[in-house]
This record gives sequence, structure tokens and C-alpha cells, in this order.
Amino acid sequence: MNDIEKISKELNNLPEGWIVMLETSPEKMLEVSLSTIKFLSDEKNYIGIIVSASRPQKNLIQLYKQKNIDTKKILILDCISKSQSLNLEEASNVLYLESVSSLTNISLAITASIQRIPGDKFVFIDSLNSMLIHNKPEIFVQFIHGILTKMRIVGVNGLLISLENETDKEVHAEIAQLCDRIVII
Amino acid sequence: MNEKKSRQDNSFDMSKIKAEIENKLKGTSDYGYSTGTLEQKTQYTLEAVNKAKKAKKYVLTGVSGFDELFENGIPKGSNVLVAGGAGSGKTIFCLQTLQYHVSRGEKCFYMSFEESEKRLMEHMEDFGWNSEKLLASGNLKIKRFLPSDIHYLSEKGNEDAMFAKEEDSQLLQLEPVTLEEGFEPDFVVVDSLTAIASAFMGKGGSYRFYAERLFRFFEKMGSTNYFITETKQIPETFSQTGVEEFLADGVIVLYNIKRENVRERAIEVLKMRGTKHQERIVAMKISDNGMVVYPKQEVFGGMETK
Repeated sequence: MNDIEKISKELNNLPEGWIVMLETSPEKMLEVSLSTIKFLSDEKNYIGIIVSASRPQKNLIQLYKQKNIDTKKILILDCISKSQSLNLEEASNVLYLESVSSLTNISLAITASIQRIPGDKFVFIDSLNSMLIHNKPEIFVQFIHGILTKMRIVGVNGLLISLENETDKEVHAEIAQLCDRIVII
Repeated sequence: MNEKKSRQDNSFDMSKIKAEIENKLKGTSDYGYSTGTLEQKTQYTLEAVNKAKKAKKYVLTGVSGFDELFENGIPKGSNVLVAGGAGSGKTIFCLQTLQYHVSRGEKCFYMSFEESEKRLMEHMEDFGWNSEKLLASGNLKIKRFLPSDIHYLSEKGNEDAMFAKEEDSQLLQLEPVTLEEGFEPDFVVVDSLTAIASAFMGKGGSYRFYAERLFRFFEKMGSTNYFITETKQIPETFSQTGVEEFLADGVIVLYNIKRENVRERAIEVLKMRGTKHQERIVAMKISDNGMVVYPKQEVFGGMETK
């Protein structure tokens, strides 16, 4: 069974409104992210809300196109470009947020996206490790707890991706208890 | 999977949705954090206004999302402290409230002990509030006071209020400020108690005495009053002497907190006599259109005073 088969099997076995943490190695992280988004977008026909704390939108869009992911079904919440003073290209499916540390704004943007995007959707947080570089662990856990609770209430699917064995143990434990499944790839 | 594919309708316009989300974050799409369409927004606003009017006991601020923090609104005739650090949005909050009421035909008076009338009008223009039109309506008055105006009053009464002590009962007969004759405001902003207090520096307990008289003066007038006070960014007390927050019926605290490399804004209703209100610190933004409060959005960390 390859990685994406494993992920799809896990997700297909969960009732709608699932929240799953994917743990993988640094080498596989990008491929796991892209394959999962492609699966959810193409196969499951979900709309994706991608919270990107790892890559700017320009890079992400290129990667999605290379992977034949339909970017019309993706909304990127780019937490990188603005803080790095990158050129903020106007794009119909990109919202630029101030910084990875702007947790309140990120939370507002996720909530507004969930409310406005119709139909079945998922929120993909990429990645816990990147977000933890810019935020204190206890505050970050509070943020994740708030977001996942909101998603639970409205039944939106959620994916969190992190590096296996690289996340602070306490943070990992706090977040893991909020997930339906931990999938190690 | 196929079933999922068939029932999912993807015939939507992501750019339109993006614009809606952006507007929502800017506070231009609907009433603060309330979800829904313009129709629902209007319904919310009308419901809130009608409820407050029906009771005739409560007033709204018109600050997007803020009124949702209350069960009914701010009790009419309250003396409310608006406290916060530099740049936290105290003046904007008060100007926004006044422009909301003036545009509804109510009389408002902005007493500035700090900025000039011109600067305050410019602030209003920054947010698209037509200050000249509001002033021309006759319902809004902005007046700059100087600390010497407080002296003037004392001279008029043959007593120096700057040196007054509580036992000087004669001073109770004096009005602490002069208002324009014939103009009875429904709403007053005093900007700020901090500036007034600075005029009393080194004068012992005189400021406390003056502050108490000021509160009583407005209480008697029946207007709903906002007293701005400057505090630390994360305050432990919400006024110069601490006594003002006891005298006041309500305390609204605005925050502009640095966390990591960003600043996040927040607001809370610390106290409001005579009404139920949310008891938590919620997110707030200052957008191109003024202040927007998100009554359902908590803020993450950095608000502890100790």
C-alpha cells in the first residue's frame, strides 16, 4: 500500500467532519501534502482551504499545477508573502495574511472562509512545525484548539501536517487528543 | 466517492468568495462577526436598535460587532470609561460612536483636552465619516478645551479648583466645565481624563475631587458619557487614580498588544452596570471604515497583566 492509499483508506473510514494529523519525515512532507490535497480535491471533490505557513502562494500554485491539482477548488491563506515583503500578486484564490504570528487574523480568516465557501471542504494546516517556529507553544495550542473546536461545531474536515518526532511532546499530545486519527506516513 | 462527487456543487466563483471574505475581515460586509447576508445584517441591526429603543433604557454604539457584546446595549445615561494604551483606538471608538448617533439625529459633544478640532475632523475623514456634514447638521459639536479652562472656572468661582480639597463644599456649586447654552447633548466624550489629570499635577487630591464632580455633573445632565483614559498597553488599573473606574458605570478596555513580531488588537467590556455583557476579551480591528469588533473571536495570548 503506497502513502496515498494509506491516507485515503484512513480518511474514507472516518465520518464527515474528521480531523486528522499527518506525521511524516522532512523528505516526504511536500509529496505527502500535495498527494493528500490532490486526493481530497480530485477524488473527494472537496474545496480546500490551505493555511500555508511553509511556502508562499506563488510556489504553492506552481506545485499544485505540476501535480495537476485544480487550483479553482483551492483557497490559499498565505501567511508568508506579506511578512517577507514579497510581491503580493492579485490572485482570485489567495488571501494574504500579515504573518505566521498573526494567530487572531489567521483564525478570523479560516472562520470566514469556512462560512463563505459552500459545500464540502477541508482545512489544511501546513505545517504545525512551521507555525511553531513563530509562535509560543502554549499560545499555538490555544489557537489550534480554538480552530479545531470551530471546525468540529460546523463539521468541517481538517488536516494538520507535522514532522514525525520533531514536534514538542507536550504540544503534540495536546493537539493529538483533538484529532480523530494520527496517520504516520 | 462518486456519490460525493455528484452532490458537490463546485459551480461557485472563488474570486467572489475571496472578496466576501476580505470584506468580512475588513468589517465592510456585515455587522462585525455576524454571519449571513446583508438582509440578515440589516435584520440584526434593526432588531438591536428596536430592542434598545423599545426599552428606552439602552443605547448602542454603532461600532460594528461591539453591540453584540451586550444583551441590550449600554444603559442610557451611563458614565463609561474608555481605557487603553497609546494607539489602541480609544479616540476612534468614541468618534465612531458619535458619528453613529449624530447621523441618527442625536446631539453629541466631543470635548477634547488633547487634539485640535481640525485633527479630530481629519480622523473622521480618514474613515469616510463626513465631519463637515455632521457638524453642519448642528447635532455634533467638537470643542477643544485647555487646562486653563479649568483654571478659568475656578477663578469665576473665586476659588481655585486646582487646589480644592474635598472639604471645600462651596466648590460643589461650581460646574466643572462650561457647555454651550441651549445645546443639551445626548452623548458626550471627554478626551481625556488623563489630560485633565495632568493639569492637576502636584496638587494633591484635587484631581480626584474634580473627577468626582465631573462625573456627577454629567450624571445630572442625563447624557451618556464616554471618558477616555490613557493606560499602559496591558493595564492593571484603568484610570489615573483608580477612583474613576469605581465612579464610572462602565469600563471598556482596548488593547494593542505586541506578540512575537506582530500587534494584535482586542477589546473587552470590563464592567457595565445595569446590563449583561460578555466577559471576555475579543478581537478587534481598525479598518478603513473604522473599528470592527469580532465578538466570537478570542485573541491568542499576551493579555495577562502579570
